[in-house]
Amino acid sequence: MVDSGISVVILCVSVAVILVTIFKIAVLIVELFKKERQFEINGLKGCISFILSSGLLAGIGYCLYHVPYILLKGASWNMVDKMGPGYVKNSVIYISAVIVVLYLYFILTSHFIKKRYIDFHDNGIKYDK
Amino acid sequence: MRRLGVAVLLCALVLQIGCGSQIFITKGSANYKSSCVAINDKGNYYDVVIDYSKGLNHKQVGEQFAKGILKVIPDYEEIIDSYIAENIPEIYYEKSFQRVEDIKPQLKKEYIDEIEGMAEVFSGGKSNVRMDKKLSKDEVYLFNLFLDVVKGSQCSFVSVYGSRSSTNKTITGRSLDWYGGDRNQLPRIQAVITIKNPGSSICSIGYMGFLGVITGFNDSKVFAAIQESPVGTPYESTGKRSYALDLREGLENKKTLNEAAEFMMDSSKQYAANHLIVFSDPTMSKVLENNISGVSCTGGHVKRALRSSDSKLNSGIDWGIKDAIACVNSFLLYGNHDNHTINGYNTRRWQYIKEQFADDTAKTPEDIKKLMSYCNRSPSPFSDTKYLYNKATLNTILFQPDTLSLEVYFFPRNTLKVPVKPTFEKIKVF
Repeated sequence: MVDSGISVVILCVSVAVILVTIFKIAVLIVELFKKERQFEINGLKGCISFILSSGLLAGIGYCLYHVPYILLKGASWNMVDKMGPGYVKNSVIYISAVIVVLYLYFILTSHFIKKRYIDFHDNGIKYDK
Repeated sequence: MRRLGVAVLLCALVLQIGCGSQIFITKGSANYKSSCVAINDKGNYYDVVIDYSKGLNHKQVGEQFAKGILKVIPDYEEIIDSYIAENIPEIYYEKSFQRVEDIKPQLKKEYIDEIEGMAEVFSGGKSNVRMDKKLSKDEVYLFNLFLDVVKGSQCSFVSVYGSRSSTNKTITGRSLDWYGGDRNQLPRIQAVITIKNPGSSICSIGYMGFLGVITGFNDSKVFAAIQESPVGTPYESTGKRSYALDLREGLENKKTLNEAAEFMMDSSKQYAANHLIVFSDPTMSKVLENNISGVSCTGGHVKRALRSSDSKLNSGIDWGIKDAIACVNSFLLYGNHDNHTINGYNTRRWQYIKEQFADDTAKTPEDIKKLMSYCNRSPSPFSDTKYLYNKATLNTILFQPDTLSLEVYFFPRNTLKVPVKPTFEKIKVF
């Protein structure tokens, strides 16, 4: 399955990034259950941010889907699957998985933020993310 | 959370790769018969007999062949048109016809008549429109000159004879590795085409509407097949010929291996692509290395010459197996361009073939079949594997010239899924 130096590097980096991000997501979910985080849409700004980020993700997905066409002179994924090299398909899968997991983390942290607390004694507001 | 889920799904949908391996096939007639062309659907390939002894000329034969093709494969024009589009990006589409025009004047008149006879039956006329589901005259030419104008086929060949063969006669295995199309276009039109001329007959294992020979043999028991051997030099088509159509002419007119080989290495015949032609007859096999351009390893000139089992090879390449010969997609002869040692696709397969002869025993037809069809657990992409059977293998042939015994594995017609173990069919010829 892993058959080139580039593919190995991409796999190792992808696994590391995915594991760290999944850990961070797990921490976020635990905080959610402990009610340390609450859902906030952030109004219009939040909606626009979500739409634009989804559009960007779709654009990245579109570009990745056309990697054989762009890099291999008009080839299709079926052609890559049959003729190879196999590491092209594998590398795109690893990169796609990283992007999806990172995007998930971005969305969760954007919309599930830690509660504000007000220090009555200081009359200030401390805001933690 | 719902919006998040939709975004993730969108991503997954955009990234889906090759979902769905079953191919929808437009059903045609099971057979067709006219005065000189008979076509029978054998399930996974078409059996075609073209008989020139009935007195029709080549143009009429071409017309009848095309009518028969459309009867058994109603969407044939769409199949070829889409295959051309998949292999030629839009920016190169018009340029490819210029290459066809360069090669056309050197084609044999009879073959021109056949191609144009076919083209008159198809609906594209004279207008070349990419992906219009029609075949124009130029696109019919383009399909027939595909190997000369677009790209060649990657293949493997192994043959034993004499003391290395359990029958003392030649046993030949040969695989065609080629991209079959996103919609399985080539497997849908694969055919065994017998052409009966007055005085000789040939059998071509190829494709409906493709009039050249990729793999074939004649009734004088001479087998030949072509294999690509690119050297990376700039492409030039002016004044060049078609090696697939010339090979057909060679098999139709020559009675011996050496005569056919000499015909194909004639220096007056110039080709656009470097290539190899593997030959077998009942007593031996050889490989014609048509190295037309490139850089000689020895400082001299590259050459067009026959390689046999004891030929001197380039530095870093060895064979040393008596009464056996093999060929991948590279030149090996001493003094020819070295596109072998630098290319893992070739060296892996070459090493694997050599390992199969380490036991020094005579090979049976079943041994050669196993060598050609083994792939460990499951087939890999062509460029990633050392095995001769891989995901790009469209057909594998086991042929014994002495008895004209032919067994063929054809890639399944109705699925993109590659069989783990290829199934061979015995085919009666002549």
